[in-house]
Amino acid sequence: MSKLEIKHLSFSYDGSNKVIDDISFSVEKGTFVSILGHNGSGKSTLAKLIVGLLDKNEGEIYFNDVLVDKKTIRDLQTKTSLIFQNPDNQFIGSTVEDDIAFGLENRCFPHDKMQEEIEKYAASVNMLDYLKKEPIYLSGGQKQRVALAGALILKPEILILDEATSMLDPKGKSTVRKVIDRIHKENKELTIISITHDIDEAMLSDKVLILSKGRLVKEGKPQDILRDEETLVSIKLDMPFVYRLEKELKEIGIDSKAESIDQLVEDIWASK
Amino acid sequence: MGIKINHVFYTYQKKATNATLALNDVSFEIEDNDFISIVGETGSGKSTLAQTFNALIFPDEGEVQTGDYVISYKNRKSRSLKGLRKHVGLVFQFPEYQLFEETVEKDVAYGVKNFGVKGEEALNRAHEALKQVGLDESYYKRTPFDLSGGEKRKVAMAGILAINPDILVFDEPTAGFDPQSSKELMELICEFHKQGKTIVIITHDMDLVNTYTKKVFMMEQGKLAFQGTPSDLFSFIKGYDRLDTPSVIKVAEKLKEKGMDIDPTKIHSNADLVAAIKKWRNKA
Amino acid sequence: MSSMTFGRYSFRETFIHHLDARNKIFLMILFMVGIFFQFEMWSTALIMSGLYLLILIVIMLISRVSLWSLFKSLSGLWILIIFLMAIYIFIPNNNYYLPTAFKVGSLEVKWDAFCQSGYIIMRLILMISLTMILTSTTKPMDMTYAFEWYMTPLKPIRFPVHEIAMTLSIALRFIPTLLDETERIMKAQASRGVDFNHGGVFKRFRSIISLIIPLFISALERSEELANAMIVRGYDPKAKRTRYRLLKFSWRDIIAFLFIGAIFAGIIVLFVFDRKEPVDIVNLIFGQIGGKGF
Repeated sequence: MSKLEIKHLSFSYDGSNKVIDDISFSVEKGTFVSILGHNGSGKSTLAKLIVGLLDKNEGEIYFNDVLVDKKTIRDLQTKTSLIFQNPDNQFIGSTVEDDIAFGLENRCFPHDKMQEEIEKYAASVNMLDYLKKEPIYLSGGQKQRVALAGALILKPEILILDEATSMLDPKGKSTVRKVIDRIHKENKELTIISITHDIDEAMLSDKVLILSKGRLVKEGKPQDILRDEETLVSIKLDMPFVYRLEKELKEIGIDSKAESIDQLVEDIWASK
Repeated sequence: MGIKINHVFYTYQKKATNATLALNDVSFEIEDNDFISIVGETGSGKSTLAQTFNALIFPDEGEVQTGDYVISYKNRKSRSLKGLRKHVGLVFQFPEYQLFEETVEKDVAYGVKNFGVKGEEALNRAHEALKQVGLDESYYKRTPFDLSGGEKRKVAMAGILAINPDILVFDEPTAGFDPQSSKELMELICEFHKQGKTIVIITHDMDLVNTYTKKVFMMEQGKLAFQGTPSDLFSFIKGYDRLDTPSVIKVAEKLKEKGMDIDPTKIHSNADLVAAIKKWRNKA
Repeated sequence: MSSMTFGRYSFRETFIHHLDARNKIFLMILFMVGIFFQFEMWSTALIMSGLYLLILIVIMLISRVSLWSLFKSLSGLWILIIFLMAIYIFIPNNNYYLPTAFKVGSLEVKWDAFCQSGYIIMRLILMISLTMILTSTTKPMDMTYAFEWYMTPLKPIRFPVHEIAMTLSIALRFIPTLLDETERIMKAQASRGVDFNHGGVFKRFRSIISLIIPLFISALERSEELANAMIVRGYDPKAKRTRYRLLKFSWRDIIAFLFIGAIFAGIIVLFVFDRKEPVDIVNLIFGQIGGKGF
């Protein structure tokens, strides 16, 4: 049973230029899928189409094998959380605790259990010490972690990250990435769809889809897809560092299929 | 034109009880036609420092000198600084948010006109700048708000370029860009450097520092913590989680730890690393 | 962050911070109304004003709102002071009770002019200070909740109480963000040679346009993204919601209510007697030491 199935999805803002052009793919329950694409490839539009923030022109979406239409979209929406790119524009509450509470309030969560729930989720993103802080005193990475807590507290079945780290500094990126990686490892039921142009982030996922000019051009395991330099360069992306170095090492006769820097170093050393 | 920074101090919210020293006795020198980078964490004072270069803020103590212009507390109301911004162009982070005219060419010409260049000549300068950033005639009459994010940023950069400053300061020029667009943008900046301009890049992207700049200054809590070559910086920040060492240097360092005869400070690119490994294998 | 002003909420563990926002707003209005009762005799008015100031200072000390930052933020009032004095000095008035202060040519300046303007300024300062204490000890969110609570009677006539309260709280949340943005765009335009401080009317107009348009566009973008973020997290203005933050009436509120209530009652009693026959507090307290007037 697949969690989410997209069939022949198309969309255009103005009626002629197709931003999303006949895309089909499926995402299995509990997997971490990256959708890679350059700036302007239609990635963010895709995220909005899935959760119904935009109305698709053509195609079908199945959620838990049920066709999503006007009646069933509520079910998809209550079970999907979306994290956006700009940390500032998704901080709704006046303090960290108020913001995490926002979704709970909308779901009519009982008041006397809120405090405990908020503290639990704030702790899960390492923001427990900041509950009373206002957003202007937080860094981008901290705000994104608050957004993650506010999304996860609704216990979604699908978590969509729409370039959630692209506006952050390296430190913010790595703290958010660590939290996402932990969520994926700890919560086997949660399906994660990450929309990104960050290759290193894509390496964390189980499956990669490559989007170019609104079309799905390739899909597969990151180990295979991200070694395909020709495709990556054709859509303005680079191979991950480790793979790039492997390719160059091959020319001087070192053959390595390493996935990490440490592994690669071992392989180089062993080639003596 | 170069920049001399002399014992500069600056504090935000001077009278507040939680006043923070954003710049704390910073001194260094950027020479004519240098290509340098200023690195540091968010809040280290690097952006504040850059804003003193074109007198957007004035140091509380000390001075910044570029050519004949002296930027100091004493001169903060001086009319003589009026021409300074013609020589020092500062491109802010996410500059696409400063566009406001109805056409691309008008927006680019706006800055030029502010410095007294008139009509036709201003438009010519705008066209030239647009050509430099790789936007052709078809863009001239388009409205900037319909462009893609990358194109908007190019238009905003052209707006500063058209003023034809001698010193170009870029705050996080590649923020939010995909790798290919980043590379194109950096190559463009290298082109400006070749034309004789002094380039200052403010960034926390260490790969960018390693690949493009020759000299790097590191800010930490308002102080200048380091100055030197990128490779020296990487050995300086080793084992320090605030800034990321470029991956290629990490590999070189790990190989050295294992006992390989390799000098991580000589590695600037994958090609350098591969060459060093080849040499080591031939020896072995 | 550079635009921190007095009156912005900052969290402290004090009696006043813990008061119910609804109660705080009510008591503030009550106190303000009390301040506006006029008394016949200058001496009485003066002593009452002194009392109000004393209460204000006590409230400030309890709430740990800095006095210094308050007076600094009021420093702009001196223009108003001069203006008021000028009005009272140059515009003749028949009800003078006090002796002449000095004479300039044929113009006779009575002490009344100074007292009148001083009295008004005093009340103004009291009002501004009270409002600032309210805003700096109450979370913006609580304030909007209190507002919503007071407006509940309007709900049956389909007045969008909840929507207005939500809009208000978001506006409050985004003020610092937009101020930062304004500063950033101003600096970016200044780097393009825009001079916001000098130049003729037309040039200034152009400068302002170069600030307003980008600001407007970014605010629109923000509001769209914010709306999306709210929808995704299940917000529906029409639907029922629970509250994380509940306004609670506690023992503190009863104390505060009794305190301000007693003062207000005292003012009313004094005022009623004052209407019958001017009350001279100085005489009441110190017997026959003072006469009528001073």
